[in-house]
Amino acid sequence: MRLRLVPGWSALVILALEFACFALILARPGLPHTFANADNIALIFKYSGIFGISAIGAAMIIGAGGIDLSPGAVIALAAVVTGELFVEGGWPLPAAMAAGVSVGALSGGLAALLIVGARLPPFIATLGVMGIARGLAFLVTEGRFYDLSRWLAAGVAPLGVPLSAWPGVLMVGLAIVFQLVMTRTALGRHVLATGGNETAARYAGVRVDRVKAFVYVAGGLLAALSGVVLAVVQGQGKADLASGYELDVIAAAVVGGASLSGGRASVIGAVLGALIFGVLRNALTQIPGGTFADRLILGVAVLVIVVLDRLASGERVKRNHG
Amino acid sequence: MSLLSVEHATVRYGATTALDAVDLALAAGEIHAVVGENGAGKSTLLRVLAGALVPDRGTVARAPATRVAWVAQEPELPPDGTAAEWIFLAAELRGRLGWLRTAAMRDAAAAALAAVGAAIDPSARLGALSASQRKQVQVARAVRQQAPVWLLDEPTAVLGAAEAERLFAVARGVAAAGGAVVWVSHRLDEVLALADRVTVLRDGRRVASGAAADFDAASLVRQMVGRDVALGARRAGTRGAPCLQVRGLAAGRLRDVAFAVRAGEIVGLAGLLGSGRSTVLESLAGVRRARIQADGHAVAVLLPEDRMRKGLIPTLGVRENLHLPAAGWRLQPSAERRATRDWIARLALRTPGVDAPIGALSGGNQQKVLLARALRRAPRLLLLDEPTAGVDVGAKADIHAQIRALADDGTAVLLASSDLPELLGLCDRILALYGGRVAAEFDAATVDEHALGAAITGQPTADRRQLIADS
Amino acid sequence: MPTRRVFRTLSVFICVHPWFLLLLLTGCTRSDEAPSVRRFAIIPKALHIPVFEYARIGAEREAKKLGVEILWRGPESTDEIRQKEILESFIAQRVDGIAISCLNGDLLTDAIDHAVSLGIPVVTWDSDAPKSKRQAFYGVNDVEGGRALGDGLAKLLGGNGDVAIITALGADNLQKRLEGARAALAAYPGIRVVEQFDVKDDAVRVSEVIASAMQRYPNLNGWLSVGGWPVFVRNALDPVDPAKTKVVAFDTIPPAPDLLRAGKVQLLVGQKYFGWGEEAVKLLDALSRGQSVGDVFHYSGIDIVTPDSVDAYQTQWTAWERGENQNGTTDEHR
Repeated sequence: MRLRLVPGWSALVILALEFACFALILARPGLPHTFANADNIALIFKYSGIFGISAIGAAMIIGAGGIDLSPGAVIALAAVVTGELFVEGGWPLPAAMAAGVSVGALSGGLAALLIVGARLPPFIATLGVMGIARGLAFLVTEGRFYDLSRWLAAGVAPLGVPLSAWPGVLMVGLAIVFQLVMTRTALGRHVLATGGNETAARYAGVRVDRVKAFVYVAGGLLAALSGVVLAVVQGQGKADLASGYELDVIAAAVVGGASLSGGRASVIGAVLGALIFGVLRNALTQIPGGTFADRLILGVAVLVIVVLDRLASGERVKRNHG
Repeated sequence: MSLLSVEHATVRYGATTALDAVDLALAAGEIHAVVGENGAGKSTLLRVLAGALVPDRGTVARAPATRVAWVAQEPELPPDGTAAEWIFLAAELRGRLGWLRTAAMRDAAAAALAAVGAAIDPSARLGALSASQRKQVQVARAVRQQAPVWLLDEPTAVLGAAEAERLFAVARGVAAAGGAVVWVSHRLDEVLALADRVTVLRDGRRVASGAAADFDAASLVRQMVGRDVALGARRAGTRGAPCLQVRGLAAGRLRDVAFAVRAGEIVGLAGLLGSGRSTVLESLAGVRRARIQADGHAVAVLLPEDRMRKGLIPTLGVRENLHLPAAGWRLQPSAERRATRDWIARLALRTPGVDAPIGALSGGNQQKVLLARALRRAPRLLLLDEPTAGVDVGAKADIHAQIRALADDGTAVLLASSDLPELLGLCDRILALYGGRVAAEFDAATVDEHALGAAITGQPTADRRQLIADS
Repeated sequence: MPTRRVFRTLSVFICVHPWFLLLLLTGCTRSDEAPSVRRFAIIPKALHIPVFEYARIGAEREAKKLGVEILWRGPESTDEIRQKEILESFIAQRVDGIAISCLNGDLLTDAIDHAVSLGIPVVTWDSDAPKSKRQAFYGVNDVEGGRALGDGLAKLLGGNGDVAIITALGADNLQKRLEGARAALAAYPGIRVVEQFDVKDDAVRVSEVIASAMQRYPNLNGWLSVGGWPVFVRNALDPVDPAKTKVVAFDTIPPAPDLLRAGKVQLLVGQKYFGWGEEAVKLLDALSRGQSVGDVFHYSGIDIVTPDSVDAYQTQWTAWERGENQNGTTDEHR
């Protein structure tokens, strides 16, 4: 029963084990620890934030039985739109950021329209949205890149939180909010019911179309928010940003306990998944030659974690009819 | 010499023992019925016989070169495959270069479907078929396999009377040809009429086994549940104000369906496969597109047929399945838990826990969860579609009692069923669907199974037909 | 009857293939007017890479002067297969000349040779396809560029210290710069290369790598980047303490000079960005008239920019951008 109450629990265990392993590997007797120290942990959160925020959306979409291939492109488009309006258009930063986030409502809305309205399979619909968003990003920039960092005074700290901490703060904050949405609200239950058996959910009286529209719009907004955070915190808007991130985002959600056949997902788990990858990237940078092998190791890690998770929970559940 | 046998088969799932040292030997030429309540171990026994499950203890012996055809209770057929593809799955006919011989397979599939009396286009999408048609496709697959041993799990649960008759003939044919059939069913009358031998399971143990002639319905029920069960008597009808008035309903094959249901009344919908029983209910519940002129259907709550496809959310637990759609904005888990415990008590629901995975429950108890889901909304109009399909005797009696109690409290009930005795025993009035319309209307107290059967097959029944001047 | 059937088939064909009709029409109009303006295809590694914007400015400026048309097209991202597809489509269009910055020279060699065999002049710029039959290459000598970086850093460190290198796998020119840099550093026995990082051409990844590497090597003395990733963005070098750690990097496009002024970077190696476009067009112009361009390698030379020379470089840059100094392609370096 515990397994059901905290889906994605295993992600926490894996994260802890992973961190402990690297802390041991990277320890140097007599010298200050370069991995397990506060600065480095802050760094891990900073660079996991972009993936983590998008992965929250991905977890909900996968939980509802869908899939979203557009986050990478939406991240880039939102970053580029923020850059264009702020750097070229001279908009105040908060307005440019709001405009960037609103890009997600449009992309998510388009996906929802295609999936709910035109009954396209989510894979195809979001593949199209991905192409459109990436293409628009290139059209907006025409090959330029926006150097937002030039306008962002060093040491900016909105609400007293340093800029570099914002990705992590937003990731954790939004994870808590959406975890509550998924576990404590009717909407969250309806998301998982739709993913578990859409027909049955519809027969039971769940407004399945609204549920799907919600997850795709929320997913779009969260991806766009990642893009805006990336633009502001990293100080750049470029059309080729975040290429291929959609798969990292999906992987984070899956490692965090989401089932691609729908009906099972954990927002907290997805964020833990993003952190698992963040720790891995960070640690591999500290291991000689590690950056040349990180893609390989990330790929293997996804497989190992998912297989372990299956063995730990899924396989024991047998059914007994009759 | 038996074709297939198990000795002392024991299967455990964690702490529960699904099968406890069960023996069964299948002789050539016999139809062997296996009965028992849900959770008694019938499907598990079948899986062991089919070789799909290796028992933890005990042995399975199969005569050399004996193929086994297994028709599972609720398999998930690929919705986008065709009937022909399923019938030939993993046994496709191939030409010399390995190309599929599509036309030949389609023809052979059509023949197999015809043999089970199914009017199904072999090229039809499985997802477009009804539950009973999908069952017929499965049986056609078994026909095609030409296996001497057939294992049938609740084969008639979703079939209409005529389709069931046809299946009995197919099963007798298999036995007559020197094969053997294991027939798992809840329908004791059909078991007694069809089977040569009967094995009764209770809580995973074989409690009785012998020639069918040595049993009657009462003794079977006693063996199954371990006590005497009184099947409910007809209730005295009390009728209130009209609750539902359907003046014109058109959807699918239905052209112009009109009828009324009063508060406190149980109205049955009888009809053959494809006559539109489910379509009427689903149209009224608003889950299917239909042209509809009616009053009162806005308050309807539907308990759908085919609980695997239209009812249960397999990834959610009992409590969550029961509370769907969840009301309001914030969930109230403790209130839900309390309510779930109340429903468990009220419906005699057997579950390992309030939050147990729904898959851990037997079919009958899953159906009770769905019934609770519908009743929780305290509907003034309840639409029930095959509420007891694939449900054991005990659970069936429980569900019937609930339906009666509801009607007594003033709920209007519209009940579609392929089980004519169920309609006759439970309803106040019965509507017979034929040719896209309500072809006849009967007072359940005075009509018999024969007249009802005639009405739903479109035979003239003028002498027996009693049109009730209701309004 | 057969005539009718043929007619019907044809009309059906045209109905279901509007493209076919369109093709017929455009084919007819095309053949009517002979191409009067020469068309040169210029293919960068990818459209989004900032340095290539300056090449485009240079190419368009030169094209205007010579009265030729420029077709500026490239893959959106650094996709080598897509780049080859673009190259082959230009060959099929029979353009009058092709100038390409190769993502993967070996992959493109066959296509380039095919173009040359068809009489289409091909020039490579920035990144070469050394095994192909292209008539000319214009760009920096990457080994030299890398050597300049290595030498510069070693001198900044007084010949002693721990150094880390940033690169990305896959491009031939980066590999050569790496070679040059490592060879130059190897000449200083006091210099130790502690680590080499692959940042995968990812603008975010470079920041992450620098930040976490500074955790591991807080006493690092020098960073050497064979590409412009750390200086294309202002804050990637934030975790680096300029008092302790010197930084040298390839490329000088904005905002890199600002970082130089701010003291975050000590030495930059610049390429002739505008020259890529200008010289490539000039070479194609000569080749398409049947003139010889002499030796295949037209090395552009490099600009070494330090805090002392940054103001002069900036003035020069503004002039290039406006097109005032047409000789900004540094013939003096040849």
